[in-house]
Amino acid sequence: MSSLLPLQLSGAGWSQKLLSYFSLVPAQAPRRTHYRLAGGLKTPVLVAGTRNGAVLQHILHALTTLGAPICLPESSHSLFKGKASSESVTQVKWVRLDKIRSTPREQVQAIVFDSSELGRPEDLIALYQLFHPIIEKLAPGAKILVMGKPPLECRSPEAAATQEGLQGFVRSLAKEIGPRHAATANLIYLHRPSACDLTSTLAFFLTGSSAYVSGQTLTLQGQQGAIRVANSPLAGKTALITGASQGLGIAIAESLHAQGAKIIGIDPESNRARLKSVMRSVRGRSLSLDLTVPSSAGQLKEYLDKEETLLDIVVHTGALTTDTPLGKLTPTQWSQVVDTHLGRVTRLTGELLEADLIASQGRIIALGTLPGLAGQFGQTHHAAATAGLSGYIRHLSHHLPAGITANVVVPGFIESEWTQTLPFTSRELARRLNSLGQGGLPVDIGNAVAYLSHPASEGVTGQTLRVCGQNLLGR
Amino acid sequence: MTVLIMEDPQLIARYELARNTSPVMHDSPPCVSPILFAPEQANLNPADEGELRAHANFLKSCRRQVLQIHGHADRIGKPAHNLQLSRDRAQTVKAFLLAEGVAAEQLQHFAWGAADPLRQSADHCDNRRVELIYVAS
Repeated sequence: MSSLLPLQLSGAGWSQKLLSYFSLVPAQAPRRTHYRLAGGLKTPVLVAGTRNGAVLQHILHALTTLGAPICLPESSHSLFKGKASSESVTQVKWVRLDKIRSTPREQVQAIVFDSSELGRPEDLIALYQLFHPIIEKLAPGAKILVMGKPPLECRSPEAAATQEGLQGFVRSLAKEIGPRHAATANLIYLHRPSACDLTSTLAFFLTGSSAYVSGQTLTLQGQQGAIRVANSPLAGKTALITGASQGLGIAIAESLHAQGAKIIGIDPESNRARLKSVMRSVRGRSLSLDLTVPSSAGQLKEYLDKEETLLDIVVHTGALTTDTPLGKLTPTQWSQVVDTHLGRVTRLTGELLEADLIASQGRIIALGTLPGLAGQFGQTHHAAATAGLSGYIRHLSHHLPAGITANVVVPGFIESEWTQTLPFTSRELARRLNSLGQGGLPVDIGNAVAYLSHPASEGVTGQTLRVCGQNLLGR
Repeated sequence: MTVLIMEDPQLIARYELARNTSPVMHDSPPCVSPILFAPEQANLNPADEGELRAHANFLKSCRRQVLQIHGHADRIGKPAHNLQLSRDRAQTVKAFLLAEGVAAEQLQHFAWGAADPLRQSADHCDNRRVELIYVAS
């Protein structure tokens, strides 16, 4: 168990301060929570905005639906007049930003800032005005979420520049607050904000379920239609998980099972005993199937037809790593890696879609890898396949029937059995190369998949969500 | 050779038991489509009342469900006027649902003016609308 905890260094001399400045000393491990919507957000959320935009009201209502206590800056009393006093927005407390003290009781735990109305470069000062007084008063594990408008939808190049500028701000802010407070900052662009259900996104980004997601930008699309009402969000839904007997596959199965989903786990015959044991713990069914064999998709279809089951969630996991420079790579190694990371995903997804085996509110989620985003020595084949995976999912998302979404989750350095086998120095270095200065846990990936699988996350599609603590590799 | 292995009967029996004791699902909400309005008007078209009544019945049967009502206007006219018009449209729909017996806590209304058009083209009829969104609760 101790190996799962970040390395703790004692003393607080100048050398440690220097290391801390370069994110080389781990921050305190952030508190993690399992992803859930109802009752998941109990900490007070400071909500701020710039003008009298309806997005602000939308955010307030979504937080109220989640049951979150809301704090509003006193300086913007006129801005919120009539919004916060609306009959359905409750539990509002007014605060003076300059009077917030850095005592544990008063520290800021979660902030949502609506900057979708910022239209000129000089408007960016609003970011300074809000965050400057409170940046030193963040609670450990604080969550910052900035809401913007997609730059390409802006009416003027100045507005687009201002909105694009939010990305740089959020990425830098995440690097400032990560090492010191184990806090995170992320940016959400709202496309057609009036039709966006913000509840699942706020419940993920403002709680410990996104503890290892930082410096990321997601675009939320307006959705059509209604979500299904249920006590447990994934109750009655069926989730297919490939590679379910491996570290991340297990965490995903546990997260989806905790939300009420029925699990079908797939792994090759060689992992049969292990898969059965994992599936027993999540009351799921196991299928021993080697998906690299082209005929396996047909066998899976036969099984689903026989069971008369449609798949609501399909999660592609499983990785094969061979670190070899291109000059020494054999054609077999190349083909194996490309097929494991890309070929089998496209083949299986294509067959399931063609056979109409994915339900109307289906969720397709694939696990990518960081080399696919950043490139890495000895991983030309691996990177080609996983970069291709992001492209496949993005293209697929434009052609899927309304209601079905497709996304990629990219894990960073996640503490697992496999990472324990790495040499000490490589392992410690990999842990430090991110803004939180520590490795993630499998539950972080499980939470991200649970968020994307939620019925209210219909607006998140074609996206790549990195769960990497803002790793230095890639954007 | 790849072999497809079926689960053992004991596990299937346990799974069936778990499935039968899973949380109760409510019916799905009625199909949602935008409610359109005539230019400069905030009155409901009688043809839309049936659809709204179906939403009211669903909301009355599921008191924990929250419905958001988003009012919009086209971009002809002044922004302040459009904002008021979109607010009036949202309030018209809200008032109808309240009169049908839906609890006020279940309804949230928003006014967007012309800020969030459905179509960017010159044909504005789709933009004079109220959109309904059921949010997760």
